[in-house]
Amino acid sequence: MSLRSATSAAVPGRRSRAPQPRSNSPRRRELGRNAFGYALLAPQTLGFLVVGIIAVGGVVQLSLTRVNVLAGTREFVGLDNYTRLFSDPDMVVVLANTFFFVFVLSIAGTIVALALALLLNQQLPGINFFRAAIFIPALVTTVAWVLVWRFILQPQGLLDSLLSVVGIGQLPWLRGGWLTLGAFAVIQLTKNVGINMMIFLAALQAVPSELMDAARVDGAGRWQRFRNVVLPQISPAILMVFMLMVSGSFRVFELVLLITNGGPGNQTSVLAFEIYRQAFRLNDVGYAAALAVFLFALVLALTGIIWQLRRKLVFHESE
Amino acid sequence: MRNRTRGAAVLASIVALSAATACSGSGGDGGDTGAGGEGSGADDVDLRMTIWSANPDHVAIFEELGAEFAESSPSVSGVSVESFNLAELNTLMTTQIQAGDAPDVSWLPVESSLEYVRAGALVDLSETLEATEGFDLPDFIPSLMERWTDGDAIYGVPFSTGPLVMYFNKDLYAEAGVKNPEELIAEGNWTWEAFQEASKEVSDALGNRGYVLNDFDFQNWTRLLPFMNAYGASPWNDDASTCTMNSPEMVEAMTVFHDMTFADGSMPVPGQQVDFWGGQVAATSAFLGGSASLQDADFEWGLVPTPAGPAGAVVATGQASIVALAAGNNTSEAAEFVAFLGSKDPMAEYSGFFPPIRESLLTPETLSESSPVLTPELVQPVIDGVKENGQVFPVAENDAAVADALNSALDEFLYQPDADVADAMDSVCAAIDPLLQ
Amino acid sequence: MSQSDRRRTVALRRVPTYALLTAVALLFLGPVFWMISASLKSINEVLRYPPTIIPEIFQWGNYAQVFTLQPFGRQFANSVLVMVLVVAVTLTIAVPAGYALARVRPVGAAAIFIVLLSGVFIPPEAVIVPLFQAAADIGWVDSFAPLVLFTAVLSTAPVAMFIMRQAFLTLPNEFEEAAVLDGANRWRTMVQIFLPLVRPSIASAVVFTAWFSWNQFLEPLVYLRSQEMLTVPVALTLFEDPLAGPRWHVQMAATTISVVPVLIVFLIAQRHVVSGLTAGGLKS
Repeated sequence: MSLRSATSAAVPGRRSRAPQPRSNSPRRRELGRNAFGYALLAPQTLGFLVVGIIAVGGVVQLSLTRVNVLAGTREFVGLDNYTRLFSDPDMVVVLANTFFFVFVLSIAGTIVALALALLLNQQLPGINFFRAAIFIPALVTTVAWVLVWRFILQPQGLLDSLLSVVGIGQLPWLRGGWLTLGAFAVIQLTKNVGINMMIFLAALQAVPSELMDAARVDGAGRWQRFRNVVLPQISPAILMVFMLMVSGSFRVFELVLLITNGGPGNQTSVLAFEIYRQAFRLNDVGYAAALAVFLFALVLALTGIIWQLRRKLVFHESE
Repeated sequence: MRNRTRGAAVLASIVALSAATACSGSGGDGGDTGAGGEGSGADDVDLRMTIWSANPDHVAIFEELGAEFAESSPSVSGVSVESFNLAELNTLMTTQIQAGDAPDVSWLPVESSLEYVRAGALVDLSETLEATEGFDLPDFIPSLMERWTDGDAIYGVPFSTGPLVMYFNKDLYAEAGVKNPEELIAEGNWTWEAFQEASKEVSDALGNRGYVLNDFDFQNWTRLLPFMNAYGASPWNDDASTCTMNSPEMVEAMTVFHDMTFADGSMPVPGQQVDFWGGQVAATSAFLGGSASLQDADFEWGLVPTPAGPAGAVVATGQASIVALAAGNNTSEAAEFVAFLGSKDPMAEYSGFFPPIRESLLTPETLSESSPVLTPELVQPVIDGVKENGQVFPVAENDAAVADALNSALDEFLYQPDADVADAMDSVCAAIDPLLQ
Repeated sequence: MSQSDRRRTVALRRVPTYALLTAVALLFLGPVFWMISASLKSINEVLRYPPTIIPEIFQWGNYAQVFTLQPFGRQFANSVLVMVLVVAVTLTIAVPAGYALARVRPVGAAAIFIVLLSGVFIPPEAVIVPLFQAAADIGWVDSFAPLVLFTAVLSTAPVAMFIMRQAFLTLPNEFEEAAVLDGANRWRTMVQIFLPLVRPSIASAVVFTAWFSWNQFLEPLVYLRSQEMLTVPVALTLFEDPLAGPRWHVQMAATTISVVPVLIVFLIAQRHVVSGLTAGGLKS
């Protein structure tokens, strides 16, 4: 009850970092705030440090060795695996594929998820049915999803016959090149877009209705309301979904494994698939570990850049 | 408000509690796996066996045999049977061997044989087999044992040797008015040339595909072996040191395959989904066990050996063995268990499911006994073929890498509509030669 | 304009919306429908092309086979248990962390955030070897412990923390000030004022975590051994005959069943999303 009066009393839009205390000294207050923050962060941080160090430390260690799994030998080879990585001619193709795939999937995935969330963010009878419809594919196994898409994309299949209606001839959807990587992006996107749509829905629901009312009173049109009210309010969620899409897209390999096996040649291989292939098909665990460390560094760098840019793009991050 | 806080506290304690029970519950099960008690003689060794079947009938047989073995063994108290999917074999072996937690006994496909043998990953079973009463090693057809022996050493007991055979749809051939494989055989004209012709006629007449390689998907080169074998071609020379994918015989064999796929239109092109078992394709080559898929088929079908060629009628067979892993913690008990499983009576328990190479068990009755559709008459020619002309899949020393490169190079160079087969095969060899010794 | 006229115009205006929604839903449900249809076909009919839309004969026996070929009921329960535990652990550690990073911001918060988030950059297939080694050393083989703890800490909690951080960030500072003016202590501010306001995002975090855990394949494959301990995604790959190949019909039946639990979580969560901030809470 006092909350309501306080809220209305506060000046809208003023953003102060920490509320000024009434009695305690600022310094003690600061100490207490830090202690409280660390206490809240402790469980996850400690847990993450323990498991993360085992995981990442283990991989870094592996990446400096040549492992013969079957013979049970492991010898230290220094940076050999990394030298091999940077001199491997195949890596040029694999990296180009990876970046293309990540670029298409993360941008398209974010936009489509947002568009679907806007479409589904309505109070209509039966809306939950439609929300569930978008979400269900995320629950189907990749194997089942791929099976269906193979029917759709096969030569003279469903898509080809649809396209022939508008006069486009047969396309070699799964026979390599950008076309196949694009098809991968669509298959992955349609499967998991429901997750991001749901995150956007939650963010949209959290847009304070009085802001929308105020904009409406000011005579703002639909697009202006979206551009000036909704977009800034959900920009933290957009940033997050985009970052998760970028890092998630780098890790997609199951599709490649199930549909083309990276081929023909290595035309449809991506970095995550190479890791799997080296580790679990060619038993070259040391090289796979070096690839994994490389991938980790790459994603860290890329998301780090996006994170640094956030202050310019995201409303609530500007402090 | 207060309620909600209490709810959170309760939730937190449930989490802590259930995490704790989950951990402690495992302590008992997992504790002995890491300990590695080196067969101390007491009745306390638990053996782990991994198999790529979750079929309850298969699992039950091996569990029962495990119990029987444990009872007779002075040191083994029990055998646990774990199922996995063959596609995950490498993932599981890699992680488990590295963590010092390898299974004691496992099924192993022939594709991995040389790789595991050369790396010293398998236990030499020869002495144990020798010492096992009634094992009767000569009962195994020697030519089909080769992949698992090295001099006097024996590294695996083949338990399943499935030939690639041809199933065909009698209705489709009749509908197209084309002589079906049985009729061609009766005429003494069962060659790839005649079959190519017949398949094209079926495709032209019906618009259906005439032939599909089962489980191939342009990713699995071993399914091309019926072509290769019939023309006397092999992907590499005898000791797997040089690529022979560009030999004249191979080019001839692959030209038949390439023509059927891209020129005749009688085989599916890459990516095309067709399925023999559903009645859409006139013929397929598949393992004998594929017959299980014909249980509810609504068409008449027949079973014949794959066509012959200039090199005669060769039967390409896959194979899998039971092996003891050197990385296991109880290798001597494991070897004894393998010897037990390979002995005649235990093997008779499962040879109805898995074609044996024990001559005394390799009978039409055995192979048809557990199948709902096979009859002794149908399998007799297949058995004769295996005995006389059976050829187990060729393998290379680092077969995983070679097969990976071979599949990918074939996809890149040969499985293309306008490929020149001879050039393509040169490129294939260029890709895999560095991986052969 | 009369009341009924207005209602009619509203209904009319909704027609294009529903048409669009239906088109989009069909696009996504098409493959799902195919899966359900395949789950009722015979093995011979499943892969037929062009596919039959309605099964020739409804093979309800496929669903029975799901449970006779494997202890699928047990495996299903395992998956549910693991999912519940992962969600519980994840929320317990990630909600406070997200709050701390968004609203408390102790010294070094930015660095801690990046460190915690880096968990989602780790490719699971790369770290499974060292993690399994650790699990084997502790004696956690064939138990749910590594599946719950490693997954929560490494994979789901970072994302949940991120979701919660962004949600807490969006809330106006005035709430905090109001709480301080009220003399509420920090715990009470968090639990009583902020937590209820981010219910939609907690719901998203729950659905995300449940989905992630439910779909995990590589980790349970490596950590679990006995058929009675397996989770659903691994069990699905075992509906395959070593000689005849995949039993697609049974696999599709099992896949269809496996969609249900997370769907229920999703639908429950949706109720919370709708009844979030706009529906109540902060009307000033």
